[in-house]
Amino acid sequence: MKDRFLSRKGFLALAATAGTSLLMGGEAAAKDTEDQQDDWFIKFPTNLETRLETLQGWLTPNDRFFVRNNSTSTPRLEAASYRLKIEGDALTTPFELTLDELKAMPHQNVVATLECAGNWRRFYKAVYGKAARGGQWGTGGVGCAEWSGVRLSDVLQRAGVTRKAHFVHLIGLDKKAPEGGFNKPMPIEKAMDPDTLLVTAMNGESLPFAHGYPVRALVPGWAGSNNIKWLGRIRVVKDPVRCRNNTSSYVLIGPDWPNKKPVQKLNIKSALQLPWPAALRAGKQPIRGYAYSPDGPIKKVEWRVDGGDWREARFISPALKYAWVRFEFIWNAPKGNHDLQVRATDSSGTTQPDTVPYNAKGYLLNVPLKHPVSIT
Amino acid sequence: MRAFLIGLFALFALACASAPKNTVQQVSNRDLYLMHCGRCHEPDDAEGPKLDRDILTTRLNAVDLFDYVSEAMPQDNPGSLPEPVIWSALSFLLTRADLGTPPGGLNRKNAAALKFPEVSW
Repeated sequence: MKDRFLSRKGFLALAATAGTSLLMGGEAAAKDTEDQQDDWFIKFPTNLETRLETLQGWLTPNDRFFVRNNSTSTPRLEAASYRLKIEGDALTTPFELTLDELKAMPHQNVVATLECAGNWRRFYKAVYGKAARGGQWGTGGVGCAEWSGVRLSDVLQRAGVTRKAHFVHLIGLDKKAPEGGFNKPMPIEKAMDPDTLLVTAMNGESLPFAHGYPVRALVPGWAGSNNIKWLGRIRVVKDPVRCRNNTSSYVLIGPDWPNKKPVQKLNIKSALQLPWPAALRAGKQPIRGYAYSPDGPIKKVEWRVDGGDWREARFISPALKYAWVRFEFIWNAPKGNHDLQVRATDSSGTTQPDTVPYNAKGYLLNVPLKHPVSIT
Repeated sequence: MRAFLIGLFALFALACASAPKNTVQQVSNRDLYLMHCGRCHEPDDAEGPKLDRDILTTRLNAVDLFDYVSEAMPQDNPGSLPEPVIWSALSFLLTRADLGTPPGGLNRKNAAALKFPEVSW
């Protein structure tokens, strides 16, 4: 993959798409996920998990980026008829934007990792001895892209956001999702963060349908479900919002969570670019992976074999706030069956923990996983 | 003052490299190098050579090195790297190789004064 980060090419590609409209409409059946190549993805009925071992660079190409749909089909919205409504009781001047009007506003680029809250759920059984409910994602419900868009704060200010605003509720146009449109609220502080964007381009190209064309939210550092795709309405309100996605879904529950807690911020993680389980030849070889954190750039990634001493890996990509870092280490692999582990530390000093409380829905697991590797 | 100038240069390099608007992500010389050159030069089995002291000093000096990079790199799209990106990447590489970098970072004006050690051919 050619790096596109902040590239002139990416910017020009974005500029070239401005003002154009795609004439497709309606909703495609789950075909979008069925048509994808098996060697790039692990397939679920409406979702696609990226095989991390197939990625070759820092940023994840659009056609290899994981897909998590809560809708049973992928909306294919028309640019010409698209409207974004900004409304609510904490605004002085609610208004609507066309896609062209949104694209005409000042844009900025943010490179950010996007991860499904249920990524790694498949490993609950191995870590806790009991599985967690939900899609059994391995390590590939994550990707990192350059997102281009308008600051949400710019739009809210244009709508006359008042001091009474406490929550910003984003609502999608995916009518076949629960509640007739996937939706989730966030506190006003996160909405006003200069990195929170209304995205119209991904890696320098117009958003793919599966990733929310024509507009999606980017709420960097927060779980994928906050980054509403096919965004149609923004409600700015005084009072707390109760919806499916902060009361029954995307909540931390279980004996260790007597007070239910909505999933918002992600946590620090690292994963290897190897199949699970992996089979390798004996001898010296480079092993690579990705590490990411919502709390600052990754500062260090360590690795060890079979519970031995931790050794430091080196970075082979930039290490930016919100973006994942690609790391590498050289392993002189001896024959036999082994467990490889990696763990990351970020600039705030946070390191992946050895244990985390169990939650019944299997979100946010981030202990250093034991990656099984068979060496012949 | 030095930190301010370095920060200013990095911001300028970033702006020229990408034309982003109001980006709030901090990008260092190292990040710019890894972004634009890392894929071919950093992984252990990468196609490009390791950019260590030995290979850097095969060029006469920093200006010669800049001229070579600006004409020949990246290999799949030679001549496409913006000048500020090249100076940022070279600032990182020369510092990493203990070849020194002028305060405030490398640029066309100060690069000529940066002499490489004599190489026995």
